[in-house]
Amino acid sequence: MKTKLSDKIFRRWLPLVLINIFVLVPIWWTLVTSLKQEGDILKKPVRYIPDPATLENYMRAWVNCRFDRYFFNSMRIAVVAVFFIVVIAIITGYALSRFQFQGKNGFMLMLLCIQFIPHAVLLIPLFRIFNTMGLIGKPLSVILVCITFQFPFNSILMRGFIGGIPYTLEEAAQIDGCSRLMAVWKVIIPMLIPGIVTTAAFAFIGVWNEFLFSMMFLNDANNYTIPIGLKMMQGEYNISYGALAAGAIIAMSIPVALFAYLQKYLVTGMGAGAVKG
Amino acid sequence: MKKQKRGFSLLMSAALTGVLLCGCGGQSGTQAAQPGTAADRQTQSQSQSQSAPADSGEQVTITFWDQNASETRTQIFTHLIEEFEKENPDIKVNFVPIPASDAKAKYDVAIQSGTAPDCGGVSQYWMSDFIVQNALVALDDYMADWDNAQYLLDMYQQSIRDMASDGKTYALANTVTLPTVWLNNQMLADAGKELPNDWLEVCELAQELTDTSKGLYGFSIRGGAGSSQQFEQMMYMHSGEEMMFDENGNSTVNDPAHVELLAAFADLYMKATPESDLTSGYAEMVAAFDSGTAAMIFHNLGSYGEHKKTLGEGNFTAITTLESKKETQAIISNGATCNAVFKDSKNPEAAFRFVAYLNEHYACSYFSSQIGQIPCNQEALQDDWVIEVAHMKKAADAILSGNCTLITVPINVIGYYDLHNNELVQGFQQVLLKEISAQQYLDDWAESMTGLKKDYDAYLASMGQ
Amino acid sequence: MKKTYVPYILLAPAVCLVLAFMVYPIGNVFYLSLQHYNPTKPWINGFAGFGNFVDILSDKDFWNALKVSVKWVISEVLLQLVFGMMIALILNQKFKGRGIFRALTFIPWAMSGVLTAVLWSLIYNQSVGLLNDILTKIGLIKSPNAWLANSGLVFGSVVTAELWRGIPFFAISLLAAMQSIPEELYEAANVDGSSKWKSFLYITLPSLKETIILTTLLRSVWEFNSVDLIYSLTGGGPVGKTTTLSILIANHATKTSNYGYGSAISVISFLILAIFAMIYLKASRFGTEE
Repeated sequence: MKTKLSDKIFRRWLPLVLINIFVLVPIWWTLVTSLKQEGDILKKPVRYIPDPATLENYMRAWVNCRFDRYFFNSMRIAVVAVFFIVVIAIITGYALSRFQFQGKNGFMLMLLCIQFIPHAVLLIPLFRIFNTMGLIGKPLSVILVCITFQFPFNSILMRGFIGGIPYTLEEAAQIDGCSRLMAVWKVIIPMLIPGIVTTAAFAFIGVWNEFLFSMMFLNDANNYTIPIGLKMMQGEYNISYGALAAGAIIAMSIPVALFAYLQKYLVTGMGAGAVKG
Repeated sequence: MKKQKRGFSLLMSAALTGVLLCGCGGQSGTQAAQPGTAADRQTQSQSQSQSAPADSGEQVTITFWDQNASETRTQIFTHLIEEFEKENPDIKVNFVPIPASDAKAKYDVAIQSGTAPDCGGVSQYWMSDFIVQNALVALDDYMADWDNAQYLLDMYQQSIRDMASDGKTYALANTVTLPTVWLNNQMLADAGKELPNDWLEVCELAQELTDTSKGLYGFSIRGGAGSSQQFEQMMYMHSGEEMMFDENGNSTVNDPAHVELLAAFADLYMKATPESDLTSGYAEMVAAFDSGTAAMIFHNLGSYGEHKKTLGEGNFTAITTLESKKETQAIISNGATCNAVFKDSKNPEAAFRFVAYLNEHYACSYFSSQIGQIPCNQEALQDDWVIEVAHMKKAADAILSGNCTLITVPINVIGYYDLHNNELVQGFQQVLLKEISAQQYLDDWAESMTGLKKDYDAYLASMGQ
Repeated sequence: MKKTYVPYILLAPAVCLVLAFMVYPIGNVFYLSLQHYNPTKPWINGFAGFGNFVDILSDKDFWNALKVSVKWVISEVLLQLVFGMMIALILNQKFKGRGIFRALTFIPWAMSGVLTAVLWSLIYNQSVGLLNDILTKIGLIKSPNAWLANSGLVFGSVVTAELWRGIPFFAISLLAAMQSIPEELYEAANVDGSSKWKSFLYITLPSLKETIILTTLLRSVWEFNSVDLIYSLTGGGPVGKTTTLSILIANHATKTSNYGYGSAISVISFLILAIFAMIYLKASRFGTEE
């Protein structure tokens, strides 16, 4: 059924544009700030177009502030952590969604409850644990912490996604001769793509922007991640707004690019037609 | 299906590669000092002289933490470490930059887990926490053998000795900064006014320079984080009171001159200052000044670089001396930026060697000139770069004159920072909002400080100190 | 159902992680809550029993912070849910360029917390802030507002900044969940002459029920514990108007070394969340099929 024009405007474009203005103006402001010379940023009157516009902040961030190195470090930690978070989220979510077993409710409750404690108060005991394991200073410690903090949330989310896929489909596949594992692989995973993309996106952002534990566990600037690099642009007395904005744009570019590529998997349209036949 | 298989295997390989890289990459230069061999430790403990390198000639690695890292400082330290390693081929220095906002927390975690670095930069007001946890090494013995110790500024070293109940030197003051009122020259000239001579004139001037129709204010008060600490300095500058506690152990923070000043500023709020001051932290206060909205702010010489960046050289003035009620020449300090050696270090002598180097003429002067702070070294204070910058020269003259007293706020009392952060900032806001009177606020503050000192003194007495 | 060990095997990695990295730290928090412990004030250290809890519950700062936390969580989660749902519904439709808009919606989530705080404090700045400038130029306000200092404005300002960051979470989760709603349901409803609003109420909402319950619960926990943005914008001020319970914890457990006291507040915070979660899940009849 074709949508009426007034419908299109009021139900679609108007709210979309308004909300997007709200979302994008601060981003645009960050971009503008990153292109201004440092001394111009706090000047009055407020300038909307950088004049002169300069790329020096980007150069500073990438070269002087070693963002090239931090970028690589952040990527390394993020890719590994996200992979494991997604995998653990899937298997945990599947177990919670498809099985009834003793301790299930308790386990779910525990998953929920361990998120209630603010991370900051866990810092010192976690530091001691990793110190005993000899992992302080190594990126692996940050990876393990990220996985531990992120998987409960994503497991619960994944349980919800899996729950939305009717079990009848798996049964049908098994009747057709698949083993349970094959059924999952052939039926669940394809339909879970939106859920996997969502989980991976959230996990990636969480790890990419993780600051506290990276800061506390790493002791070599060669291993530092981007958030630490960004924080170092705020000294005790001097704040390099321009370099900070440029660094943030660089930092944002990866998750945004990744998501821009993946967003089409978010709406696979696989929901349609699932019940047919 | 094929696409998914391909995607999956890609992901797997990425993950595995990542794991491998983590194993490899993470190992380079991570942990602090290499555990010395038994022979090393033997030689070091036997060696009396600090100026001679370790006898055995074996190389020792020490770690130094920079507590206010930035790309500029990293470059500075890289250069200084290079020079140091040339002169001391048996010591290798690992440099770890730490962002200022989290440096204390990182030190805390390290101290609690016994993994503090060999040496590092510390703010003097952290020292009381570190000393009570027995985390720092007393440097007096090392200093006895260090020739250049004579060039340290005794004024600041005394303040450091006052941090510890046993009067030992637990750190070396490296750079300091002077509290100052920054003034916008243009706004002053436009109103045709003169520089203020004391704090009450500052308040008057603030009102005269205010023009709310143009959105211009005479002063911008720091009302958010750090407000009470800054105002404490302002108050003591105004009263000139040298003793933080009177002979009965009561805090002097509610001195009548202090009440007078606080009441005056509470009156200024919203009349001669922007409303946003109430929650302004450092960044907002500096933004108000640098954007030309506020004619004056109170901070210290350390923010010179910020103002130069936006307002431009010559367009603003540093007023470092204002007449106090006692007509004495005094410098108020909330602590120097120091270098310390930590008990967890396995090579304290090497660590001291590096710390000492940082406080000798060349390194101290180079470092201070690059970051725009005042060096705590007599020779450095007489260098050209100091003399050439007006406000630096003035500060250097005052320090070297010998008839200037250093008044340090009570950072040597445990719980000082706790009190400011958790209670005094909020109370300060209430005073500005006229919810409580200046007298009430300062009386409460004095009572708390007195209580803290009593508890701390009692603890020290019980420890037999 | 035949006895199977499969679920236990599947849960093994999760259990290992929890045992290795969560049991001791969380246990430590509970243990410390019963102690007076401040490494920089050794003279107070010792067993406290419920002393910390008594102190906290009789401190008016605690009750104020609790009130602010509740206000904060309710406003954030509701607003984020509503706006997120609106966006998800729109982005679920087929139209040209929806891919771009989907990517755009995601961006605030991608921004580092470090920068978000600096950015919004710049935007809200009274003298050089974007907001004041634009509003003055449009003519909506006459003189610049102190968004982060004025008692009437400050809470709304901080809520808006966090809202900006939080909308993508709901938008994306709900959009993903909408994918498993079969299109035939909508088609059938249309054939029956149902309006779009009715379709939403009777088809979309019920199908999303589990996702909505989960995401709002998780988000509530998250917002309850969120510290960084508020702290950077207002420090919890003015005079505690934006001091949430999580900020109180940060002040005691991380800014200063009051670990015993800070842990006790964490425990209370934990209990509050636990009770809330249980009530919420029961009341929404989570897990029951229609």
